[in-house]
Amino acid sequence: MEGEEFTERWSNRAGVILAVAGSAVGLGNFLRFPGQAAQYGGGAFMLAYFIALILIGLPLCWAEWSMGRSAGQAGYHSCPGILYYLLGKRWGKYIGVIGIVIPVIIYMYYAFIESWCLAYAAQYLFGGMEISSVKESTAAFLNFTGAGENGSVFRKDFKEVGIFLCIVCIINFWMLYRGISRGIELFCMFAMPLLFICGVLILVRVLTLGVPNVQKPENSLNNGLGFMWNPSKIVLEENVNGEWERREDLIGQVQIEKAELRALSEPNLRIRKMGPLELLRNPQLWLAAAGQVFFSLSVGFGIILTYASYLRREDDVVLSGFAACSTNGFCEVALGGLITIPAAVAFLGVAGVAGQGTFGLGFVALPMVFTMMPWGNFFGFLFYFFLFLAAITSSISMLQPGIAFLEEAMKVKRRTSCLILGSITTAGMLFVVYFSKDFKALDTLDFWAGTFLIFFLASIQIVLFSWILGVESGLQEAEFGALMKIPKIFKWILRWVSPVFLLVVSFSWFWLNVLGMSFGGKKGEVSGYIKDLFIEPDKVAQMAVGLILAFGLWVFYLVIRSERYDEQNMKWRDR
Amino acid sequence: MTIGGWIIMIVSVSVVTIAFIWSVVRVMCSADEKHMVHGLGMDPNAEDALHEAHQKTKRKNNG
Repeated sequence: MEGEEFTERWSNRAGVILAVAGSAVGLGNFLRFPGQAAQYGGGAFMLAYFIALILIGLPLCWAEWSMGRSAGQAGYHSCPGILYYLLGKRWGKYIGVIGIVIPVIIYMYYAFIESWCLAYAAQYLFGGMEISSVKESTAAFLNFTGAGENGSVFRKDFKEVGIFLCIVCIINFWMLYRGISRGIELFCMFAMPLLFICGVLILVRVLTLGVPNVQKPENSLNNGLGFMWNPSKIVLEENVNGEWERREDLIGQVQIEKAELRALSEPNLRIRKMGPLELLRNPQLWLAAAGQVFFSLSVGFGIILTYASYLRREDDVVLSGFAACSTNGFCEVALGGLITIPAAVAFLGVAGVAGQGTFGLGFVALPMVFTMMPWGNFFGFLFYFFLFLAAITSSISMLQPGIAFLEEAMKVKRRTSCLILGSITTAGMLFVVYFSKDFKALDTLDFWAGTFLIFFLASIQIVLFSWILGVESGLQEAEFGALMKIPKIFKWILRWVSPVFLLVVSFSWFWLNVLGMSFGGKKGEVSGYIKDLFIEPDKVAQMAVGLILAFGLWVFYLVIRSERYDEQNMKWRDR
Repeated sequence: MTIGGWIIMIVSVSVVTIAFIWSVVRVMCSADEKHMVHGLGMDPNAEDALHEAHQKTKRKNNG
């Protein structure tokens, strides 16, 4: 049994890079990133984004790749084993529990969203997507996802959603059951190139849109690109109780002139230009950029640690890590940044896009765009299939840490570990699907497991690599078998800048979003997620947190009970 | 879109595209044959797989 589990390896470099890139490239690249960039001012946001990529993203990526590969040589493929092995301290395996909890919990709601993408793609393919207004698009989305009422998915359209959920689960677990090289790697070797082809085809269509409706010249590709990329913002502000609050982003001459006329007649309105320096002074922009880099690269999830543990000792991690980062960056900036927002503005105008969240943009605004677009059914299918590919390559990666852990801790075969994890994730997924009202369960799981725990684990990992294992030995380990040199400046960045930057970002996030404080002397407000748990208890939110805790405790119990993590059975690294 | 917007867009997209193409070329150029064998579903650690690959290469070289 042990022999079988330890000989599992990636088969070739391109395969492992595509698998890691597939894990990183997800819905966030095409729906979350454009929304964030447009909200904070494209140019200013991009500057912060690239700084965060160099100071946090790439170093953390290299750290995870080299720590994973190092522990993999001793036969550890899951976060508890990897951290215990590297640290040599018992608390390492307990902290490692988080690296199992994060991806498995995220999978429970991510697979649900993945099934929406597949369902939308199928509806476009078979001509079932008939929407003529934003109202209809919103109603279709709420009806389909059950966001209006708890349990409505089961009562009304479960057959429809259920089919796609089943397909998604079967593909995910089938690929996992086939193993690292014959399952995950083989799938990514086909899915990722297909994703690029779909992405480029959609990009060509979007960049040739021009002005789709000549009667509305302000709704144009040029204005869409401007809304996304302009370094300064022109905003309409409203005076509320003596404080100027941002009401609307203005883009294009027509819109600015209309707003100027409004401002002349209404004294509580004004138009203001916000330059890049002013935008960069906003701490929220830095937090958003760092968070985006962080989540989109899948660092801090425990996934890269697990994937890298299947590398051979002589396999390169530096070029592979860089290649995975650059693939993710290309998908995010060159595809995500040029497709979603510009297409939506070209058809719906800035008003139809501004303030839309990730789901609103992806599943309400964009279906309208494809309805209005010539060959809309074809491009609608292509876009949602493209999103589905991005999502499934990520969801597969979320399950592998759990599978590796069960194989390691319970000494079971892959088939059994797939069955156990399949049962757990299906139960969790049904919880998310049932408690669908306002996506309360999904949102709560995403906040606590998909954000809070990620900040926590990533901070631990960077501190472990930079301050506990030591940058010297860490870089020495990373450069073993490397096909490119890590620039010398990264020694300094890894020792001081990355940990400090990440700790500051994590603390700021905690300060703003958990404690509900604010920067700059403004009055803070208790976070809604805290309110849901303690101040105005919400049963669904409490159950969602209970689910995270219950699963965490079960993993914790297995870690304590497993002989594999007994001190005398550990294969210690040469410290 | 303003000139600043065009500059930022072109620079950002170029940077990520160049990094992506550069890394793809580097990875492809350094792909090692022993590992590629496993991509066909064979274990490079297994002696018979290596032997089979060796025979295949030999046959290929002999035309």
